[in-house]
Amino acid sequence: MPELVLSHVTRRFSGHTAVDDLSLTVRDGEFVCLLGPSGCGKTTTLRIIAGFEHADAGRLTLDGADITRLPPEKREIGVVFQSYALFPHKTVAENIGFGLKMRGRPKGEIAKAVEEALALVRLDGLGGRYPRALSGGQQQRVALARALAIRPRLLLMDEPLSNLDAQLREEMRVEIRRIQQSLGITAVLVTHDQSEALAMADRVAVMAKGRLQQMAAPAEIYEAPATAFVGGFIGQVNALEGRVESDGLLVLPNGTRLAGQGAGLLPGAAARAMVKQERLSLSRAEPAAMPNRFPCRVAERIYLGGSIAYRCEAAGLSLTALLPNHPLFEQFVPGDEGWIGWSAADCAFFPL
Amino acid sequence: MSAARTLDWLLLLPSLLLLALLMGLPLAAMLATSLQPNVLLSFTGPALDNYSYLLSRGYYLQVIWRTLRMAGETTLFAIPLGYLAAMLLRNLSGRAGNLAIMGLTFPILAGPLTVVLGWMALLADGGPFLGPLVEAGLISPPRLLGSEAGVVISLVQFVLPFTVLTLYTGLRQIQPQMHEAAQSLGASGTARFLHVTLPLSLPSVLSATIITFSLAASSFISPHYLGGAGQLTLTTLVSQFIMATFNAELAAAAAGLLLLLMLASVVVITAVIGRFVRP
Repeated sequence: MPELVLSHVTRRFSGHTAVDDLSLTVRDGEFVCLLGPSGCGKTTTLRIIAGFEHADAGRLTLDGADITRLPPEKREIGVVFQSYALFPHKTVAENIGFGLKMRGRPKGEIAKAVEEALALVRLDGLGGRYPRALSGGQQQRVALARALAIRPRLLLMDEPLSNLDAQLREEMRVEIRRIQQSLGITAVLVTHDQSEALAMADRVAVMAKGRLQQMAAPAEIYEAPATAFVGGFIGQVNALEGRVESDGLLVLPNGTRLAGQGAGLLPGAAARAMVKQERLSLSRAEPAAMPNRFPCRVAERIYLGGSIAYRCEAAGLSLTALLPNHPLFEQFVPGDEGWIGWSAADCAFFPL
Repeated sequence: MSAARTLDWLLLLPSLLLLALLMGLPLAAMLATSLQPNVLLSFTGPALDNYSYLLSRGYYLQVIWRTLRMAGETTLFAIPLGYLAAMLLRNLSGRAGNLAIMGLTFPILAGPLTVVLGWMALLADGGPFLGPLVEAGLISPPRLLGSEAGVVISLVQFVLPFTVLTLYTGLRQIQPQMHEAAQSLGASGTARFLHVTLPLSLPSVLSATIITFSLAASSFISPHYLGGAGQLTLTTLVSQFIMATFNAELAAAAAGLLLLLMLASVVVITAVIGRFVRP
């Protein structure tokens, strides 16, 4: 069972710790996305798994075997690079067949495997071309086919979609997920794009400053962030800082009280309340069912196409509500008066 | 032609004129001289008699062959040595890399004459290289000064900085991810070199070979000081025609021959190495 386990992996570069005591498990056949802002250590983590960087401390096991000191060429791990790194002097077929050629497989077998890999990424008949004669999206597919042709125990992808334009990126998300599912291969993808991670992964591992913040299914990452960082990083949020008054009650500096949820926060502790923009309701009538509700004035309206963002001023706070652009939802213009509100369940408190 | 294009040409004009003036005119004058009669040969110019004279004498053919042979030998030594050095240089980073490049280019700064005088001292019969070995009875006394080997040794040293820097620039252009990709696909160190580094560096090997060969074939100081009269090459022959026999026309013809041979060599080198370069 190709299961990847990182235990207490640390990597220091002169002056800073890129990966700090990282432990995580990627289960057999699972698709995991490493997500985080640039410089959070996600790419370094991927390079340590691939073997291009060594870990200063900690262990890696794949399939139960320790691979911490195994050189990359012996790891049987397929890698898709951000720049694709296709060999420009080899044809598409030679690129895809390279790994098998290195394994000394007979020519007939290589040719057959190359055909299969090309079919898998839907590039049949392009084996004779050189990489430069292909579009960015096609090069991306060749890179994927090349990494998969060796039947790797694990597939690693480093920001594979960042060089594609928006529409192609969405297509390739589905495509990569389809291929990963059809092969049942264990995969780790690094990205800074949260929608990419949420859309593709079985589980998302959010990293910040070299540390793992939370590793969970996309919905859990979004709905129940474990740390203030995850809460603020995933989705678009309103963040308000104050002090805990009692369990489930936060007092803002201006005296406003917010009802929310936060486990283990002692009264008097500094905390941050976070509520996602689309969980705010904006209406002309008072939302009596909402514990957090304030009369407000719309200060700004930002038309986003599928949705409309309203920046509102309420009780001396600036809050942004994201409403679907749909006839069922009331429309506002700057200067309109209304009510803004949210439930306690959508309002999470995090210690500061 | 648009105004911008005209301006481009105007901006190029000063340097083009300077080139034409400093390179084109002397070259044309030299080639014109090479077609004229002289103290040895009387014919009505312009004609190619000087060239056919040089090409019909065994002695001069020997000089031509020696010129090409020495340049070829120098290239054969300098390219592998330079390739190794360039690979090492690529792995050095920051300060160490800068120091290495400074060290490498130091002989260029010092000037070829100084360096050749150093070789004269080093390669001398009782010199620090061979002296101790001969005294210890390990080798029979070789003669390096005045020999082809001596000239080639100093030529290799003279061209190496240029060879290394050309190859180094080429090697640096290969994305590090190429090696990592090959590595992740299971290629060992040797396989990565043969399948990735070497083929991707061939264009720079081609330019390094052309530069190395041309520098070696047109070098004057090394064959002059270390080869002497016994190891005449086209450059030292030209010098002899001018300084010793005062035959400017034959000198010009010999220089014209050297120019032609170099052009032909570039064509041959490009054809041979170019065959291995994939698109």
